[in-house]
Formats: sequence, C-alpha cells, structure tokens
Amino acid sequence: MQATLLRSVQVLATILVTAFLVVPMVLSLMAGVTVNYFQGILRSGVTLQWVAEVWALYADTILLSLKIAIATLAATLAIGVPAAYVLNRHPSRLSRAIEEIVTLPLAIPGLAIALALLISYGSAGEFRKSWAFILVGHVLYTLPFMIRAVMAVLASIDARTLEEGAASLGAGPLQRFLHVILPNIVPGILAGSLMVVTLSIGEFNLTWMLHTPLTKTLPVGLADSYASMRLEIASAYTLVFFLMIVPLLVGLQIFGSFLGGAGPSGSSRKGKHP
Amino acid sequence: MTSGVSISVAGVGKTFADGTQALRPVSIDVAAGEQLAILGPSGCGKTTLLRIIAGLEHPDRGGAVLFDGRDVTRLPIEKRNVGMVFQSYALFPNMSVIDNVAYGLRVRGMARQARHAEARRVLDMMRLSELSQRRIDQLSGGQRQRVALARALAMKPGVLLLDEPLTALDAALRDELRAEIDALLRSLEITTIYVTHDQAEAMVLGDRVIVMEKGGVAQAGSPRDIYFKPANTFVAGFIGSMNRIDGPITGGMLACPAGHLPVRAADAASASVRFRPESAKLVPAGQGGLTLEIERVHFLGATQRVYLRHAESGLALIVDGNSRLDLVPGTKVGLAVDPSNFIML
Repeated sequence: MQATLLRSVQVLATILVTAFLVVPMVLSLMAGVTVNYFQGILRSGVTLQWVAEVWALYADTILLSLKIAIATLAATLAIGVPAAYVLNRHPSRLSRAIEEIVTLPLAIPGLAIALALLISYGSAGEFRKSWAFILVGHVLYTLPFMIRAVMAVLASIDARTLEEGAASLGAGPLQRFLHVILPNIVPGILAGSLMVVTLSIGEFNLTWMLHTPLTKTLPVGLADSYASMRLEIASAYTLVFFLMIVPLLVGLQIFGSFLGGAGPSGSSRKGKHP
Repeated sequence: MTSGVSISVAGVGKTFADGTQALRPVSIDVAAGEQLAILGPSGCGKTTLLRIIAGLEHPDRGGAVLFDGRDVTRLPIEKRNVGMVFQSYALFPNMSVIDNVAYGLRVRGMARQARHAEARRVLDMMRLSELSQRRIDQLSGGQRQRVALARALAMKPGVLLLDEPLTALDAALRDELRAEIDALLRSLEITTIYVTHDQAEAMVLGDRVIVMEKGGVAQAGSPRDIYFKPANTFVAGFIGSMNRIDGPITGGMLACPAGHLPVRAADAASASVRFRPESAKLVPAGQGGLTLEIERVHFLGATQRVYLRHAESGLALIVDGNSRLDLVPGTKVGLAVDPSNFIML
C-alpha cells in the first residue's frame, strides 16, 4: 500500500518536472505554425507560412551559424586535442596554470570577452567586418570544453602508461599518438565536439556584441525577429532552430555510441569473464 | 627465439628534478640469458633502475647502460628492442588481443597476414589462442597478464623487463603464473630483469637476486645466499622471518633472560645473534639452552608456526616445525639451536 503510494508520487513528480521542461518548448513551437497567435491555433488554424517566411528572411543567418559552428569545431579540434594531450603528458605547475587560464572564459561573461575582442581588434577593418571575428570569439569561449573533455578521458585511460607500452614495442612518438592515444580518446573528443557545436550554434551574448549587420548568426537573428517581427515568425524561427539542432545532436550521439562500442569504454557490449 | 643480450649498468643513478635522489649510482652486470630479480620495498629505487635500463628514464650524468657492450644510454626505449611488461599491463583497449600481440611487428612494417601468423604462434605457445579475437576488457586479470607477456615476447626482444607483473593478481593465480613464467623464460633463454617486492617471486624467478634499499643495492647474490647469508640487518629482516636474541657472549655462550645458547663467536659485552624459524628445534622443557612458553600455534598444513614468549623479559621467538606435533599454548618448552645456524651481523 505504502509502496504504491510512493510509486504514484514518483510518477507524478516525474510528469510535473517533464511538463515544466517541455510545455514552454511545445507552446513556442506551436505558435510557429499558428495562423494567428492571438486567436489561437484551434480557431485560426495551422500554417507553414511563417516557417517559409523565416527561411526567406533569415536563411543566411542559419547558414552562417552552421558555417561558424563547423569552423569552431575544426579550430577547437586542431588546438584543443593536441593541447589536452600536451597538458596531460607533461604535468607541471606551469601546465596546471595554463589549464586554469584556458578555462577562464567559462567564468567570464560573454559580453566581457566580446568587449576585450573589440578593444583588441575593433580597428582591424576587414577582420572586424568578417565572420572570422565571431569565429575567434566562439573558439575562445568553447575551447575549454574541448580541452576539459579530452583531458578527462586522457586521465582515465592512463595515457602515459599506454604510450610507454607502445614505445616498448618500438613505436615512435607519432605512431604512439595515432595508433594508441587517438583511438582511445575518441569518446572525449566526441563529447567535446558535441558541447562545442551546440554552444557555438546557440551562443548569443558574445555574438551579439561582435556581429555586424552582414554577419548575423541564428540566435542574433532570433533576437532580431523577436524585436521587430510578428510573434509567429519568431516562434517559427525557434522551430527552424530545433529542426536543425536536434538531428545534429542525435546524429552525434549515435555516432558516439557506435564508436564507443568499439572504443575503450565498451559499455554497449558486455565483457565475458570465463 | 633469439638468445638474450648481456646488460651492463655502470654508475647509474637518478636524481629527480625536485632534488630527491631515487637511485644512488649502482653498477650491475647481467649475463646473456640470465634471470635477474630486483627485490625491495616500495620506494627503494628498483622501478627507477628498471625504467633506466628500459630507456624510459635517463640516468644522471656519468651513468651508462650497455647492451652487449654497446652504449644505449641515450637511446629511447623504442630503439632498444626491449620487451616490457608493466604492472598495469598497458594493453591497448582499442585493439583485439591478436592486434595487441602483433603491434610490435606492425610498427616494424610487417604485413598484416605475416604479423598475425607470428602473433598466433606466440599466442599458441602461451595457450591463449582461443582469446585472440577478444577485446581487452573481456579478459580476466590473469589473461591480461599473459597477453601482456605474449605481446612483449612477440617482437623477440633481447631483454625482457618485468615491473611487478603479478602484483595485481590474487595469491593463487600469482603462484600459478609464477611457475608458468619461470618455465617459459627458461625455455626461451632470454635475458630477464624482474622487479618485485615479493620475495617468493624473486627467489623462484631469479638466478640471482639483487636486494635494494633506499636507492642503493643492499646485497646481490643467489637466492640461497640472500636467505642464509644476509649481508646486513636490512636484508636479514626483509627476506623471510628472522629471530633475534641480544645479550653478552662469554666463553662461547650467549646469555639472555631465557637461558644460555652455545655460539661460535668471540666474547663480547653485547651481541646480537639471528636465526631462521626453521633452524631451531623444540625440545622438552629443561633441555636445550632456552626455556620459553608457547604463546600460540598457527597450523599451516605442512608445517606449523609456533610463537614463543619469555614472560619476564618479553623475548619473543618464532619456530617453524613439524605440524604433527600437538602443542598446547601455555606450556613451557625448551629451544635448541645448532650453532652453525646462527647468523651473526
């Protein structure tokens, strides 16, 4: 009797929390396909008109966001993975200090980072006007996530001993990294990539400060539409954002668990111990 | 397989960046095909010495490591052709068992089919064939240990270095693998250096044992020498169990509160004699030189360990003897020790 009651309370609590998280999202998405929000979806009907209008007005911001996200990912992979590796393999007071400094952008408001960038490069004409300016901000902001994720996995696999094992078998430094270290840190690289891509696509604070009318990203466009367009258009914009980001996240997760099955974690396959 | 190379370590010491001296300069020669065990407590420098021989650490200035007379001191490990088995095995989780074993050959550019055939041969030799397609996380501790050894042997190294290879395993498995490794290494005639803190491992696997203490060599010799003729009090205390009686020696008799014992030593105002638990014999009370009380008896199967105590002075001794003797704690017994069994340090 008491167990049933407890179970009911648990189920109820779960439903409430889920509703708390999901309801605003659903309402917002519904608003995006409603003919007239003030009349309601039932009276005015369903339409894709707003979605089409968003695409017509803001397609360039969506494409730019994707472009910046991919470039940010490329940059954080190129900088973050080797950096994490070096920090892990050469632990010292200096390396710990570097790790802390690299992590600083997490604790500093995006606006402050943007301001610092504007002070540093604001007068660098072409660079200031190009999307690469936003890219620099995004890389600064997301790099700690990549470094942290890769360092966590490096620490858990005891990279130093693995590398010594490979060296004892005759492998040189590059072979050791490519054959032994890299395949074993894939889960960390994927986790870091997931963070970097989502953070970059959704980043607003920093981007809002750094953008020009010609380098608007998706979230900046979203703010713009909220401020100047019908509510339905802003909501349809949210819908487009979801349609973009959700398949991307799901795809990365599937890719990750596929690789994770062959990687060191092995959680997807149970080990046999005869 | 290839026969081993000889190793010469000359004046090799190691001081770390923070100034701590992990290893005082030591010189050791290991003959080709010899099995050397380095034994000592943790922090004695044995692993540092092994890592310098392997090429994972550089010795301080002045030290040199020679393989077959060739100076390899500045050569990194990947150019030394040493097989190494790590305490944590260092198996590659991203590769199957056979790919782990074949990795040394892959790095040397051997084609996939050829290196797999070679790896399979080594796995057969170590009776691991049925595991060849397994992933590392599907192996038990003992299997991992054997795969690590197979991987080191597959590249036909001139030297095999083992760093506490059995420490992570439980006792029964350790005994089994110890015998297996010993048989395998002797059949391969490969030069082996085996680092351990376990004296039984060192004695079984070492033709010669080097006992290390606080960054230096305390004694080097055969297992027999180390056990019966310890060079100093550290070795005497570290290897096996040891009894110690203190007292003055007059006219060839050692006096202690529990009685007198004949010794072969000059007179001295205060002396210490030591003997192994199995070198003493229990006799009826009143006979033998000493009289003590049985405190407790640990039955071990083939033998039993008897803990003796002299209540008034607190002198405590242990004696290993025939387990068929039924001894009752609390009774008084005599103790006799043949003078030739005493170790005087």
